[in-house]
Amino acid sequence: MSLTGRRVLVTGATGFIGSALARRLLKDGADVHVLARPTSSPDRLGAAWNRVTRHAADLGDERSLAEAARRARPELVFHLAKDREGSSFEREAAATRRLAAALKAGAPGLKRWIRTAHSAPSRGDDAALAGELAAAGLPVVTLELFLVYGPGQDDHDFPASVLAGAAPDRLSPAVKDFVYIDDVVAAYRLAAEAPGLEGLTIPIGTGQARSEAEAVEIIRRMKGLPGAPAAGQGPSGGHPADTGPALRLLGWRPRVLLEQGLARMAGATAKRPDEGEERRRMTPWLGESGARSKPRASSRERAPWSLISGAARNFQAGDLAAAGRDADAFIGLLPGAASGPVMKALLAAHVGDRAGAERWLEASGPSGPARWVLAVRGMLRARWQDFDGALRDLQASRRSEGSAWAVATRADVYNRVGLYRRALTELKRMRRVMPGSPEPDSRAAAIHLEQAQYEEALACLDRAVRRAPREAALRRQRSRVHFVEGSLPAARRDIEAAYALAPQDLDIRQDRLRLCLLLDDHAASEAQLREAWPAGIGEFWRGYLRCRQRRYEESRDLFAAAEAAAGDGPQAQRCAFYRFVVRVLAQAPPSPPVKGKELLIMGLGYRHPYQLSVEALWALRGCEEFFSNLSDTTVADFLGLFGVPMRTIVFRRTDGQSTACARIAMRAMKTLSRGAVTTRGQPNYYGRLAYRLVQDCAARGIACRIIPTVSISDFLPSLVGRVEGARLGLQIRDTNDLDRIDDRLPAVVYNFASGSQRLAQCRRLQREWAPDRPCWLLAGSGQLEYEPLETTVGALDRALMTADPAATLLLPARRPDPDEGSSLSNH
Amino acid sequence: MEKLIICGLGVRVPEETTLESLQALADCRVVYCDLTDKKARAWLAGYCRELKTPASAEAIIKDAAVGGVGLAVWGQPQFSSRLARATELAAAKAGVSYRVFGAISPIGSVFARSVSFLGGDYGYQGIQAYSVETLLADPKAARTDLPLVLYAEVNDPAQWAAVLERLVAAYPKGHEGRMFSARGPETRAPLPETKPSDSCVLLIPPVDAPVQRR
Repeated sequence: MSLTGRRVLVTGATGFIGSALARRLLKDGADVHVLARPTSSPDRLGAAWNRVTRHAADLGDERSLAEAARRARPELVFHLAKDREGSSFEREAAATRRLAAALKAGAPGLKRWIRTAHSAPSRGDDAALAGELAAAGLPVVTLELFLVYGPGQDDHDFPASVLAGAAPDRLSPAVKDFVYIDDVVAAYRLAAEAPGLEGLTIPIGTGQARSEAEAVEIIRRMKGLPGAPAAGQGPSGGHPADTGPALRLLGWRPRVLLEQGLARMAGATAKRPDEGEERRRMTPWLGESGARSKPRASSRERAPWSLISGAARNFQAGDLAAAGRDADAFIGLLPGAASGPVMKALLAAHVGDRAGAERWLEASGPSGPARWVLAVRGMLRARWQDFDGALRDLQASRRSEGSAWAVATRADVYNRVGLYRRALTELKRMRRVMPGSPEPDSRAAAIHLEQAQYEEALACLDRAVRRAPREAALRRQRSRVHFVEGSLPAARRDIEAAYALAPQDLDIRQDRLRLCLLLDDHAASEAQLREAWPAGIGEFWRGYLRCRQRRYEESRDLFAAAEAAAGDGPQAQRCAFYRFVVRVLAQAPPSPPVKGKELLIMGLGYRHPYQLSVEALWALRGCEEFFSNLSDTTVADFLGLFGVPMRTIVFRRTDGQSTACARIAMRAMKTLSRGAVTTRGQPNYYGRLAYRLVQDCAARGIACRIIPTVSISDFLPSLVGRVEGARLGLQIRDTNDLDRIDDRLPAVVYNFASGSQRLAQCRRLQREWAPDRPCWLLAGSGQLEYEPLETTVGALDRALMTADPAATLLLPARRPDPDEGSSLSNH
Repeated sequence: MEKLIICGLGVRVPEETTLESLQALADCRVVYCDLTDKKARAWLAGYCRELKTPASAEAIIKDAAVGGVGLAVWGQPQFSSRLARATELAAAKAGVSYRVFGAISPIGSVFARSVSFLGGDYGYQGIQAYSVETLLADPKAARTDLPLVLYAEVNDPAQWAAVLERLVAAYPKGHEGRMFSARGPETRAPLPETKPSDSCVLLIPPVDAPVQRR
């Protein structure tokens, strides 16, 4: 049976059976999705919590279920959740029907739905429900579970309670069929694959009639305790499972007898008093914080510090067990030194056990973590996206901990939370610690570039290049800064130097060709195009050149050839898009003549340049020069198709810089009839540059037109894919004005600050809206910019603090009340 | 590849149609489009293999079961087209894979064409945009201290008259609205004299002007 790579959805994955099944499915290589409520505890899933895809959904809420099903798109569903309001059959049935509706709508590729009959007294009703689901076309099979037991069971449930030390004075007289958890998990896996089960209910039990008294007797015998409490009086109902159907239909038979199962449970409980079995089994080398293990004989001969460096080496090499053993040995030899516990913390963090890591760090010194350990904890907390905690720790470690990694970590965290000055200060310290290395300057240049501080970025890179003159990557980085700054000849000099150092590097070769094309150096461009290129790349750039020359027919054919060579993926998408652009350009009407001067301000679309409008494309064709407010090569390549000069004018959020950028464009307009300033999204939504240009054009008598484009508010709801209510409309709000939002409509919230101000804005949002209200956060840039993060208002602070400065929030409309009227009221 | 794609063509067709949407529609086996404007339809037909007028969302979904179906509507499909919304909901319900493409909304269109700004210290602090029908259901929801964008895909004079009557009462006498139609230039008129047309968008500036900072 192969579940490898299959999309499976598990409900009830944080429960006893569901968690065991989810872990097993992960081990099978399945792509495991789980439903989780905000209150779901990750404890039972342990390390697996971080390996599954979690969808916030509640069986009581159709909307969240539908959304989860749509996102998970499961082939297989294992439904083990119970309705949290209670376990009556009616509630279970209602929850099941809600899930059925969600799967019908959102899981078109569903192959099998394995559901669970929890309530034996309602067996007849449950069979009817299963029949109803099957009749509705759902590939459902039901497993009727008998008394499931095993490690991970709730301590108050029988027989775990007895193993945990409870002494029941009264036991049920009913006949029980105890079935071990591993056997149950195996049954679910078989039910996922066996053919022809639709509509059937299959009992899963051992077929052996046992009683609670027998189980207690076994446990007492194992523990060496005498006697057993008497079974309760009264009718002794119940029956064991009929194992025939499971054997016949699934090929399943129980493998663990009650005695064996209880013994396994007792062993697991004795070894692991407070954590999930799986994590312990996976990571026995983690151990308990504060426990000082004795060194192994083989380790005694090694010096303690060679042990810890060995642990670090093993850790880096991925041999976590060996690293754990070395760290244990080190702790045994030097129990007072912090390095051992820190290594154990790193190991725990590596497997996603944050609580364990925190415990080890806390236990690293007699009165808490030393300052250098605080730097480690700060690094880990940043990784866990606990930026408040990370900043506290890093700040505390700052005075005393100046090693390169600690300084680099602080710089990285400060940069991520928008504290750029502090990040740069740390990198200055790093320069002192690593005087011969170009690394601190290269990092600082990246931060300056992000802030559009080109002179500073270039100064850093000049230093870095002096330190490592043979490093082609540094030359390329400096070329890029020149490119963004708008100095194409300087960018070309650097890329030529990088090419001389690394002539085989494809990125450097393409940068070099791009610059030749943009600088209209036809001879050099043609010469480079004659060189050997990987399949499709040469055709692409030749098509590009033909488009610049307005030879659209040839260009279209070359892009088609490049597309065919590119197969699937982003390059093929780009080729197909360029081919289409050339088609639209070839059919464009002639540009209207310019009366006087005209400046166009346009966005290339949030998903640029794909969302460019036809009007903007036609307008670009009639311009004499472009001023691009975007610095990435995607935009440069796209604008380069039109064969007119382009300058990059980039600023970051400060009015002074927008004025400087506007000045560049206005100066150029002295000699131009029609120019275009291009931005990303809607230029007049938080567009200081557009605002400044409009003002300046008005003052100089230059006609100015803003061409509409797809803004983030137009785009975000289609990314989220959530349509609610019957009302058509939208609200867009600044974070400074969140009053009186009409919650019949979706709301898009813009303009988040950085650092602590952002946290304050988040608190305001949390005061305005209910904590369980779902919302989506979209990063404004970076790798995740097209992947909205689903969260709730209550959990927004964590999501917001790690989001891009240009993050945007979408709050979908609430569903309308059924009695919502449509009568007019007075204003 | 999704079986159904849903695209908005913007307020002005073809100008506000995005290249991404047009490319996706060009790849479809059949495109349903509910625009009545002949010029716009003729232009779109030049890029589509087959252009049809939709009978209903259900009919589109039925055809989409085979795949290769596109739906092109006015404006932004999730904010301004009832057909697009009904089709999206029906697709979700029927389990038909679909994708909605971002499009220029009536809000974005009039904000750009009217050279209005959204942005804290130099523009408005927010925008509220309603289809006429939605605002009619609760005119109290609208605020006069934020710009109000009103739109209707199909002109219903009675609905416009009803909503304008409410708005006239809420705004100061002589307060001007700015009307943007699918073709032609912007027209300005005091609210009682505003004459909406098919596929038009009305921008009513707020009572207080936005912050102007230099």
